[in-house]
Amino acid sequence: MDGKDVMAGGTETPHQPKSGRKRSDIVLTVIFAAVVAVVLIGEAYVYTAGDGRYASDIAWTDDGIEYSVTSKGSEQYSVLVMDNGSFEMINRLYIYYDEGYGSELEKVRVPVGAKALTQEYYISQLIATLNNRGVRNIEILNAAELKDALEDDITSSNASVKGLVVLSGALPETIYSTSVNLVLDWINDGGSLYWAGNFLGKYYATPGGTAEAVRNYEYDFFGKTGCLNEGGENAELSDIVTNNYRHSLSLMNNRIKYGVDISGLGGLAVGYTDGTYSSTAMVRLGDGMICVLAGDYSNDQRHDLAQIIASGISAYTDENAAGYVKGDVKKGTVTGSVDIDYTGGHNYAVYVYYGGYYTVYGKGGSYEHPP
Amino acid sequence: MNILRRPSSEAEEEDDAPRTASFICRSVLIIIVAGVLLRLIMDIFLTQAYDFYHWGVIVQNINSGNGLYELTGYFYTPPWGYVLGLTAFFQDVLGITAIGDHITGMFPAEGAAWSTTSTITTIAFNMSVKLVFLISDLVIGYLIFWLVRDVTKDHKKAILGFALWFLAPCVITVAAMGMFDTLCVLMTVLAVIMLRKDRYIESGVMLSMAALMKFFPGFLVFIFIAYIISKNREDGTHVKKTVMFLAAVAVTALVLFLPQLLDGTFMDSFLFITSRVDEGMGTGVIGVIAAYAALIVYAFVIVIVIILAMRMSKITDGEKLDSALFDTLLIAMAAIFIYPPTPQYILLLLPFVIIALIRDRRYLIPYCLLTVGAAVASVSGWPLGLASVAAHMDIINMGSLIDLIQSYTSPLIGISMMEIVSLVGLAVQYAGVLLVLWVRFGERIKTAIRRQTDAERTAE
Repeated sequence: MDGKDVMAGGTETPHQPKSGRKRSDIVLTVIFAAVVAVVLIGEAYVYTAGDGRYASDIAWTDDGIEYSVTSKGSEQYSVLVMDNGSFEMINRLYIYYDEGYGSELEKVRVPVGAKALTQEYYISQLIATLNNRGVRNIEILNAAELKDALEDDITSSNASVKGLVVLSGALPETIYSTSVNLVLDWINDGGSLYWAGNFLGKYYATPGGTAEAVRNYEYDFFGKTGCLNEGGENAELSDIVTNNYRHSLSLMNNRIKYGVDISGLGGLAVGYTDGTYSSTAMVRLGDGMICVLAGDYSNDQRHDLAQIIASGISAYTDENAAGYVKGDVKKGTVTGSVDIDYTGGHNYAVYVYYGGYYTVYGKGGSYEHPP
Repeated sequence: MNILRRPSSEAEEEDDAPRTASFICRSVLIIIVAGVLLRLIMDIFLTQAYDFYHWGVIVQNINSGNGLYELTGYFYTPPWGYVLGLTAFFQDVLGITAIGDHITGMFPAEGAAWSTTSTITTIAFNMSVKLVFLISDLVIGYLIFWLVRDVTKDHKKAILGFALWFLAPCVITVAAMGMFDTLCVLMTVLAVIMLRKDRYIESGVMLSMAALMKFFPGFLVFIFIAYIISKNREDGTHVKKTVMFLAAVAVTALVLFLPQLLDGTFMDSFLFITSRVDEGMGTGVIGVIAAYAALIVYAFVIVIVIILAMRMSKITDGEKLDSALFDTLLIAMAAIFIYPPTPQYILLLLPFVIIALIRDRRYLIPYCLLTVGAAVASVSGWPLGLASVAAHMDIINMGSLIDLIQSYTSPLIGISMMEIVSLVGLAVQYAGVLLVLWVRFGERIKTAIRRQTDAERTAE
C-alpha cells in the first residue's frame, strides 16, 4: 500500500499459547452465535408471533356483559359498549375500486421508504387492517358490479346490513351522477356509506376521468349546503368533548379538510374538531348513514376508518357510551364485566380491541335486549 | 527487550500476556459505568419521536400477524425488523403493554420539522428498544478492545480503544435518538475479526447481515475477497476459501429474505433505497442532481474499493497484509462518506478511525470532529426529542415544550435554530471525514506537489 499504513501488527501467530487463543476464540464464537441467534430467532418470531395470539369472548347478562380477553403477549385492551339505536351492524362490506374510472385525490406525502399511498394501496392496507379487527366479509367491486350490488340490496331489502367504502374521491356514474341517484336510494334504504378522500358528491367518475357534479352535491347528501369544510389544512384542533369516543376508540386522524359540520344534521361526530367541522362525522340519511372521514389519505385516517367500521359505531349511536373498560392483559386471560343500564335502549354494539393507538386486534358484535 | 535472548517458552508467555489480558479490569469497569450512566440519562430524555413511532408500528404489525411488509411501517431490508421482533418478544415478557399514545397537545408541533408525529411512544417502550443498542455498543467496544489488543499487544491501548468507542459522544446520542446503526457496526467489526482469524464462513455471514442492516458494508466485499485471496494464495486454497466466503454471504442473504421471497414482498424491502432516488428525481433540478450525485459517488467508491482491493490482493507478507486491511477499510469507509452522510452513518467509520488513532495520533482531530459533529447533528432536533418525557412523565409541561419547539424550529433570519445547529454539526462531521482522508493522503499529496514544483523549477 502507498503512504503510511495506519496499523502495524499481525494476525494470529503460531507461537500464541493455546489456552489464551482458545479462550479468546470462545468469546468471539459466543458473540457470533449470539448475533446470529438474535437475528434468526427474531425472524422466526416476526413471522409466527401473530398466529393465534389473541382471542376474546363476550357473554350478555341481565346486568350487562361479561368479557374474557386473551393474549399470548402483553397488550392494553379496551371493551366498548354502545347503545346503537336503530342501526344494524353491517355484515358485508363493499369497497369500490375501478381503475378504468377516474378519481379525484390529492397526492399525499409519505415517509421516506414508504409506498405511495395510492387508492389501490390504501385499499389493500385497509383490508388487512379490517381483517385484524375481525371484519372479513369484504368484496371489492368495480363500477358495474357496484351498481348491481346496490340494486340487489334495494330489491332484497338488505341494504341495512351492508356497508360501502369509497376512497376514489368520486362516486362512479353508475351509482351517482347528475341523473343517477342509486347510492342515495341505497343509503335511504339503510345502507352505510363510508367516504374519505375529497368532498363527498362533488365529483362523479366516468370511464374517461371525472366530472364535477353540476347540481348542489351537498344538498343531495346532507339536505343543505355549507356543511363541508373547504379549508382546515392547519386548523387548531381539540378533542371532541361531547362524547369520549376519541379516546375509547383510540381515534388518531387529526385532519378536518373535507370534514362535515353536523350541526343541524342528525348524527354523531367523533375524533377531533376545530369547533365546527369534525375529523369523523356520521350523518343520518333516511334509514341509512353517511360516514365522512376528513382529510387526504393518511395511515391515521385508515386506522380510524377501520375502527369505525369494526366497532359498529354509527350516526344512531348514543353520545354516551353504554359502558367502557380499559386494562392490561399479560400473557394470559383477563375476565371482567361491564354493567349496562338497559333502560336507555335495546340495540347494543360491543367492540373489543387490543393495542390502543397501535391496534393489533379487534372484534365487534351486537346484541338486542331483551333478546 | 530482546526476547530472542531468553528461552522461547518464556518469551511466548510474556508476549501472550497483553494479547490475552482480561477485558474486565478497573479501568474498563469505570468506562462501562460512565458510559451506561450517560446513556441512561440520554435514553430517558431524548428520543426521535418519529423513528420510534415507526418502531412501534413495526412491533404492532408483527404482533398483529402482518410480518414486516404486509402493512406499511417498515422500509428497510429485513434484519432490523427481525431484531425489533425479538424486542417485541421481550416486551411481552417484561409486560410492557403500551407502545404509545396519540397526544392532542402535540398537534401544534406537527409540521415543525420534516419528521414529526403526535403519536408518542412510552418511556418503557423506548427503553426496551434502546437496551439493545446499549448491549450492541458494549459488545462493539469489546471487539475494538480485542482487535487493538490483538494487533498492538498492548492492554492499555486496547482499553483506550474501548473508551474511544463506548464514550464517543455520537455513539451515545445516535443510539439515544433511536437509530440502529450500532447493530450494523457490530456485524461489520465482527466480520473483520472473523476474516483476520481465517473464519471465512462466519465472516461472510456477518458481512451479509451488516450489508442488509445498512447497505454501506456491502462496499467492503471486494476488500474481504482480496484479503482471502492474498492470504491463501500461497497454499493454493484461495479459490476454495473465497467460494466459501461468498457462499456464506449468499446463503445468509437467502435465509434473511426467505419470508419475503415466499410472501411476495421481496421488492418492498428495497423501498428505502429506491424511494430516496425517486424522491430526488421528483424535486426539481437540485433534487435530480442530489439523487444522481449519490449514485455517482457510490459508483466512484466501488471503483476505488476495487482498485484498493486489487492492490491489496498482491501483498504476500502476512503482517503487511493485516496492516493493509485496516488501512484499506479506513480509506474505503471514508470514501463512502464523501457523499455527505447523516450523523448515524458516521458510526460505521468510527471503529476504523479509532484503530488508526491508536497507531497514529494525527487521527485525533478527525476523531474529535467526527464524534462531536455527528453528536451535535444527531441531537439538533432535541426539543422534539423531549416529546416522550413531556407526554408520559410529569417533568416537562407539554405546553412549554410546544412553545420551545415552535421557537426553535421557526426561521430567525430565513433559517431556524434547529437548521443552524444541524448544519454546523453536519459541517463539522464532514470536515472530520475529509480530514481522515487528508491525514491518510496529505503527505503524499504535498510530496507530489513539491516534486512537481521542483521539476518545473528545474525545467525553467
